Amino acid sequence: MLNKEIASGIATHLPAAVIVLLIEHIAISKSFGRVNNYTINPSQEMVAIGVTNLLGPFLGGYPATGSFSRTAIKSKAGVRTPFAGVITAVVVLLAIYALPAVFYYIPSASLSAVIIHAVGDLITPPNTVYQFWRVSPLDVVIFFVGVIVTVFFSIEVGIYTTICISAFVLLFRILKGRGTFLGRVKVHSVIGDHVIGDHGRQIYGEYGTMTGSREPPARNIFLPIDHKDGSNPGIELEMPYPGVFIYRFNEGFNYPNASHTLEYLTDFIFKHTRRTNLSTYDRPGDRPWNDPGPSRKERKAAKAAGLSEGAAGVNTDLPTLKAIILDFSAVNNVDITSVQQLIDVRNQLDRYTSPDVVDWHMACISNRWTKRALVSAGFGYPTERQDGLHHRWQSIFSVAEIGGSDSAAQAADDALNEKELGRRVSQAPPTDIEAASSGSSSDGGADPKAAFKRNAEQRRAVVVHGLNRPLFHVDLTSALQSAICNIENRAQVQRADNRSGVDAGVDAKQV
Amino acid sequence: MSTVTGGVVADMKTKLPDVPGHFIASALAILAGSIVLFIGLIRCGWIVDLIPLSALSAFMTGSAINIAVGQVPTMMGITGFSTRDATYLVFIHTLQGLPRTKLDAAMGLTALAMLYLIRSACKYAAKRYPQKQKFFFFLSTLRTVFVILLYTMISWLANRHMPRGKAKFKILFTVPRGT
Repeated sequence: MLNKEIASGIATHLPAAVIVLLIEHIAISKSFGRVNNYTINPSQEMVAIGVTNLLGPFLGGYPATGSFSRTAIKSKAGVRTPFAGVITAVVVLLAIYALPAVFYYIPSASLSAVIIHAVGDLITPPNTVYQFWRVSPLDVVIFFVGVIVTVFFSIEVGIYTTICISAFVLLFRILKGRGTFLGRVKVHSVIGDHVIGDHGRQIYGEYGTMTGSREPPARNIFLPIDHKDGSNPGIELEMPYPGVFIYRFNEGFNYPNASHTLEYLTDFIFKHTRRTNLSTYDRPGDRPWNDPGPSRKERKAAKAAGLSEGAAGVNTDLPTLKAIILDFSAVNNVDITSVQQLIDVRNQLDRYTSPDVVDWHMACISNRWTKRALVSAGFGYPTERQDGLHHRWQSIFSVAEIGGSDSAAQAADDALNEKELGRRVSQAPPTDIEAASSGSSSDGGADPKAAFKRNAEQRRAVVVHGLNRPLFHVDLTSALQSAICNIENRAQVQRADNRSGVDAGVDAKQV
Repeated sequence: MSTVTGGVVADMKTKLPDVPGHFIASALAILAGSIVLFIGLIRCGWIVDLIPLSALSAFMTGSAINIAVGQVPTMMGITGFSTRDATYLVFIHTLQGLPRTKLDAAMGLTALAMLYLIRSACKYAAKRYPQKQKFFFFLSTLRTVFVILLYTMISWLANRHMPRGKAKFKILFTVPRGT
């Protein structure tokens, strides 16, 4: 009965048939799952319709799928198990054997009326369309395109059209997704008429962990500086520190959007900073051909102001670029394309700021593979500098308190942690850079082991992330603290003409 | 699904005229069923999540319009063109054929009006007497059966003296036993 000729003839219709088979059945089962509070397993539903359609034709059946009206009636009638299907089948069998004599007189016109009446309920009512419009206007456009295509061509083409448009919209959003620059603002939480935090210690004291600590009455939050998120435009959001930029990826960071999102980053930075080294290029040929350079008018103005020629056309009020903080909270995975683009941008910006280098702080990395990728691309620890200042890196680590203070498990855990910490510090790190980071953390006074010992009587604390990656931070606040601390520290050291760096640690603590 | 199957059968009729229609329908069921079964067995059910709600609603609305418009000619007794054409063509042909309306319209339009009337009456009554909500719901679901039986009776009264195979308006005639 099924030969090659028929199969090849059907083949072009097969995708649409499969999609229709699936969406009718799955849509029904999902909506009734929601009504009756259970979740369906789509794979199992597919096995069910697959078997039905494989066996049915041997008894003269044609493609079958879930039925909305029958399901609705049965659900209301109190059906709880699939056994209801058996009863339905028996009734239908009886009807087709006992009633054909009655069927003779059924008027076709009335039958058509019944069909029209039944499918009338399947039309999405204008109310629902308006609801769609309020959620996503674009989806309503897709919906109408689908309906019009179905009316003017066929159901199959309509299905393909809507699915393709939706997929294209999704892809386009990913492709054109870019980041947001964030600014810092201090907020207080207010209950009624008093600020939480002034009396906050009593509120949180019952757990015994907060009694010793002072809950700060204000905390930092980070909002988009362009207020595109709808936050109160009256709030003045500034760059957190001159030359420090906080950038959050919005639609992930993968190959489709990597160049777009990083282009926006560099454009914005070039607009809001100036080159660190204002002296001219050594030879005129060193200037890239597509960099127009200062115009004659600008050069004249610079000469009149008594500035060097390199400063022409540059707004010297702008800060130089110091650090970039990347918020990875919306990024799950990265790939070689996006990481390579990030490396390219780092090199580009290092040229822009030479002889200085840019510090790249990464916050909120939630995936270990992403962390691994960034580490192998050279992020996570301070960049090597010609003046050796990377040895003066001040590491700020986030520590977390663990467990109740007097449990046995806690004590065992502490012993293990202590051993772990001791081993890590005593171990000779394999690379030069790791030596720099662990060495600086001990001379900077922020040594977690010492801090740990000091507080051992009151509370247990462990570092949240690895000590060997001082540029990966748990949140934006600690990233910003670290960035500002190191910029100020470096400036002080440079000013003090390489004095001993011991007091730098004191300076860092004040931040 | 039935609409798509009907479309496939109609399309195959032009390609392979000597193969009976129900063969095509069964072949389509076996092929589509085995594909769906395979997807289900390799546990790739998540594939349905690739179909967004907008596509789903558009499909439902579009096919509902398609089916409804396709049934209007039968309801009005208008013949003389294919109801398998694109929906807008069927609609235009139906409007053009309105003068050819037959007695069928009396059976069809009144049935349609009665169905909507019963439904709205039940809806109103369920709102009016909330404690009997379930009773009215089942009364409402039985409206189809009621209307079909009523019109079958009318049809029988009108056609009982007609010779076999003849009727004043189109009826189903002989339905083979057990299919």
